[in-house]
Amino acid sequence: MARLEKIVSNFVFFLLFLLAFLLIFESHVTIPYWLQPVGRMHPMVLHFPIALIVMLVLLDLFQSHLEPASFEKVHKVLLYATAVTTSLSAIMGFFLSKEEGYTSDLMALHKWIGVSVSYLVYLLLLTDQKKWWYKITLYSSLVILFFAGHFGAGLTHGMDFLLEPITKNQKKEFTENTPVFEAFIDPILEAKCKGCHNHQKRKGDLDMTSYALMTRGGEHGPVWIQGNPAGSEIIKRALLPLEHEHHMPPEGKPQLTGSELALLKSWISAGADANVSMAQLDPSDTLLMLAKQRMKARQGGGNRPRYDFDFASKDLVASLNNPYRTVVQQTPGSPALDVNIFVKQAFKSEYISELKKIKDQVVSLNLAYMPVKDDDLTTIAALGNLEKLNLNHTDITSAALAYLDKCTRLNSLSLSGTAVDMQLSDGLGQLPALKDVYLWNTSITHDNLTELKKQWPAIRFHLGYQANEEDLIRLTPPLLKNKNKVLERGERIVLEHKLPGVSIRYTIDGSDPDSISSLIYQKPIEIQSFTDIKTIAYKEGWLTSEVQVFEFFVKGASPVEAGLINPPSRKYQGKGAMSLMDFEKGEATNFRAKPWLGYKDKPFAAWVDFGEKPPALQQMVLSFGINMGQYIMPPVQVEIWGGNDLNDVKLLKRLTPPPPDAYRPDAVSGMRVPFATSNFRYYKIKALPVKKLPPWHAGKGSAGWVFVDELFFY
Amino acid sequence: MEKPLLENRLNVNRRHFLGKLGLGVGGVALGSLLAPDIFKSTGEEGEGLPLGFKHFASKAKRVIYLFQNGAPSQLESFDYKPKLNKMFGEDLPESIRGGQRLTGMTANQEKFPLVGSKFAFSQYGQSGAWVSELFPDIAKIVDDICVIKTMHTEAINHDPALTFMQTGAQVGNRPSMGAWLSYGLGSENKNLPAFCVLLSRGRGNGQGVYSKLWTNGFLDSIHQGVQFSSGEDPILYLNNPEGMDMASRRKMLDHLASLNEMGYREFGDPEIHAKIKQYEMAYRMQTAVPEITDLSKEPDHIIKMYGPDCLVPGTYAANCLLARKLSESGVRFVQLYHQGWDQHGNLVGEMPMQAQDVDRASAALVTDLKQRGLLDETLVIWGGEFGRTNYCQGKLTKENYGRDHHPRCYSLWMAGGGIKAGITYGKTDEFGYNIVEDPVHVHDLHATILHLIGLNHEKLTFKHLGRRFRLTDVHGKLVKGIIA
Repeated sequence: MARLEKIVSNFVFFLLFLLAFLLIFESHVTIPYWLQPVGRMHPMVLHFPIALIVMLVLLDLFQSHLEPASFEKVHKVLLYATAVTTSLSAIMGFFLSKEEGYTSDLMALHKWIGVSVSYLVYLLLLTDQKKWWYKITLYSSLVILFFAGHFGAGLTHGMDFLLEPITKNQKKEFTENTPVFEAFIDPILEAKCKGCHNHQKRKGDLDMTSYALMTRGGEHGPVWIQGNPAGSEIIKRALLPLEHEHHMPPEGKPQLTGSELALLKSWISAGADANVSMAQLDPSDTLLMLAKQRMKARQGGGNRPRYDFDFASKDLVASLNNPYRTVVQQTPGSPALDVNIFVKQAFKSEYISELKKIKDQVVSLNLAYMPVKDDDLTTIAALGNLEKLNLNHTDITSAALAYLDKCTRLNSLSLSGTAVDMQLSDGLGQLPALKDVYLWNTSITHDNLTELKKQWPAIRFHLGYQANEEDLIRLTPPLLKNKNKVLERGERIVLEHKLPGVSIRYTIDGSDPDSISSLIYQKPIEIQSFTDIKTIAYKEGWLTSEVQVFEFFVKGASPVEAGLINPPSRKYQGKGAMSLMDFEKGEATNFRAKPWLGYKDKPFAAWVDFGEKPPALQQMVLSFGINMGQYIMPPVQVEIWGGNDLNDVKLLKRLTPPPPDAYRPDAVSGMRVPFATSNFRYYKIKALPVKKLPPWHAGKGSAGWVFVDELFFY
Repeated sequence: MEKPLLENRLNVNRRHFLGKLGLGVGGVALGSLLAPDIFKSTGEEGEGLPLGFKHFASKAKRVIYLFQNGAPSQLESFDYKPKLNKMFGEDLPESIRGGQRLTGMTANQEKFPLVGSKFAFSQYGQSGAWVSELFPDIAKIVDDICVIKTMHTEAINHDPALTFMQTGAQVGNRPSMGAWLSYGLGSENKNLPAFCVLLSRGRGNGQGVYSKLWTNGFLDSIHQGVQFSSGEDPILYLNNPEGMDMASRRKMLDHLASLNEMGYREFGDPEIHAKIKQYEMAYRMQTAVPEITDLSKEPDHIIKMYGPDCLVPGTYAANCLLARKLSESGVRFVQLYHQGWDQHGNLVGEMPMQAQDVDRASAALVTDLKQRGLLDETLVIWGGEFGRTNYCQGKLTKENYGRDHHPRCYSLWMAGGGIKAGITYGKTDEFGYNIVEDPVHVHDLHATILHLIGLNHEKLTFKHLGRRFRLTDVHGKLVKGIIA
């Protein structure tokens, strides 16, 4: 016997320890499905502790009538039985509570009271029955047990279950014909005012329990003035600052909400009529709208769809997921599934037909951009609970709608960018729940839309953005594909425009291109020397783009050696003469970079040496920078001299370009200097900076700069 | 009579105690079977759960955040304050400024001359929202958007304010909003990253953006924002090199996978499996991404809608179009940044250019989502990191002025995904300096965004350095007034 006692006592201790652990880490606990039946036995097992604790109390009451020895024995058996069943019941209850749907405050109350009963009973087990505190513990267990039982029953049957037969008769059904006062106004007053203004408690000598009593009012007069909400006592007081002495309801009590106040106001301004009902109100009446809102809120308010179909098995859902098809639960705790299918190239018809396995659960299906044919939609017909279907940019036609006849819950259908036409109207009739149809970028026009709307007034058709012919927009200029500004010999220039149907026109002679006579870009352009290509993009129905200039240099003959006759300005020395022959181009924004040589006080002057076997040449290109804001101007004069002795060269060409007459955008440009074909070993090149900046320039009169980054010879 | 109970009680010695404790430990062990993750660090849920841990029903499935980096002035966009025009040049009353701290840029300014918008305002749509003439296209969609005029933040300089807006903290070590979303919801399309970042540069005075704004912080690195290149190829190195076709690529990956599998059998390192998966995703991206960047299914007038700039890679308009395509393909969070909104001076010169860059494309994005039936499940957010002062920074002339940073109020708009359309929320005072009604703190905005997407901002946590972190730290209230 003692051994059994010990086992039982240890068992109880174990259970309570387990319970404590579970409670502490409650947020982490998930109950596996196989354990759930144990939890569900809680409503059965809990009757043992109830009965046994009552018996313990009875036993205690009648102790004097029993023989001490037998009392002792019976008491012990009872006590151990109570302890075991109480703690078991508590743990089961805990399991049960982890199932869906038990999260209310009532639940928490029941849980903690139930838990305390089980610990109290364990305390009894440890307490000497003779001690005075045994009785206290026992009787408090009984009292607490009562509450645990009551709240528990409240959880299963509803808190008003006990008194329902009494209260039931007072529940009112409100219809459109119930007076607004009775249906909406009085309940507000009931909740927020009558607590202090009733027969028993008449604060301010005001009793608000009936319409008549309220019109009579209290010591400050009637509650309202018909048709004058601003002058009505009830509204005035509600609008006072909360801390104001006369504000109602008083600070600390539940306040009127915005919608309640709005309803009260519009009811008073409509005449504070006790008998007017919703059915009698004008459809545009504010009071009716507010009342309707409230009615809707009362009917559960939530517009969230609730689903009555079963869950699909987790394994099935997992097996349907693959990289190109995702099947996910729409909301935690909901059986509804959203399906998306992605990546056109990976699409297979099976991706749709396999959805039959979850035909009841799919509520939203996204097939946008997939090569879905009309026939593929036969499977979709099986998806009876489908609400949202996205077929944008698929290959379906109007005929496809015929397959959707079983989708009676479909409310949103996206058909943008498909081949649907007005025949679609025939298919719409079988979709009773349909609310939104998206038809942007289809053959449906605005005129068709009026027709559709007439036939299906309950459906919203969305046409979206329609191109306006008069809305002329300027095209963007052509884009350049080449990465390098210095082309290899034979390398071509590639232009493109992303908009289909655009023609690119260009010039290479420096003139501005137009959309009529300029060259049409058809294949990559080959150039021989420095060229500035001016381009435009042109398309019917659009404004022609602005002119975009691309400047290209072509690699030519390379000198063996080069040298600078005049040193560049101290800050802009680049890599010395090397800068001129390394094919590295500078940028028009950073003239301190290595490719640039800068000159102001002295002209740029350099020599090049083509070695023992000089090639035949006829042109030199000087590459220079323009940044007029920083006084960096094109050279005013360029000279090229040639000869076979560096000290004996003759002038081959002198070029004096026209000076610029206005600011030009920052650029790296080139100047072609042609000369009679010759095969000298040495050449000297000179470029003169402008001595005095022109009058239109902000720094007029000061000296300008010349920046050179490269020399090319052909 | 001997009382076994008493005896039992008196016999609790060390041995009994330890024996009982053993039972207790047994209880813990049994209990821990029911809470399997309790003695493990709460690691990633990883591949197992495609849906992450959504907390409740949501309206929005995806977010597109059009971040206007540099802080566009609310006074020249959505918050109409005619009083400032009347009070041109008058000093800001100290009672209004209320001891607001100043930036280093205006702290030494002797006066704070008020200046109103140089740009005219009108009311638009059924909602009658005020919009300035700088945003004619956004003005056309005011009935689809909700303008919040009462955003406010804690930071006063760009970097902390941006970081705060993006990560919920001014210090830069927390996960970005997009990373939290990726962590909370997982990826919808397994062939694309869940969080993508697109950058564009405006023509105004600019502030940089840094990768810390789209960091995964302490979350797993798969949640990091993937920055797209602003060049021709949004994702670099995705094309097969010359001489390699899809079939041989497949073969190569299969061989590589079997080699890696051998390595895994030898070392058992789970990172090897992660690597194999990444190769597979990259392979799938090779087909998925070209489909997204392909414009051939787009009709001509989509270009008109977004403006022809959308044909030039790296522009805001091109990014808006790409954002729509990514979002349509299941990318959870597309983050755009348009730089150049920092008008300390020459506001009259710069702001029209900035507005021109973004106006048409922003409005087009909302309309485009709407006409495809996607706006109800996509949340679009447009706004900067703080507002601008109602007084002039630097020299005030009749023709031009500048505005400094202002954290106390600024405007932002949202559209789609569960947002009440066609409303203006909150009210600022007639000086456009303080909030009068319905303030929305950055934490509140975060809480609301998470709510709309189905996540409870108090429950979306990650344990790091011994405590649970949230996007909203210990703050954040739902802004119920803007939820439909």
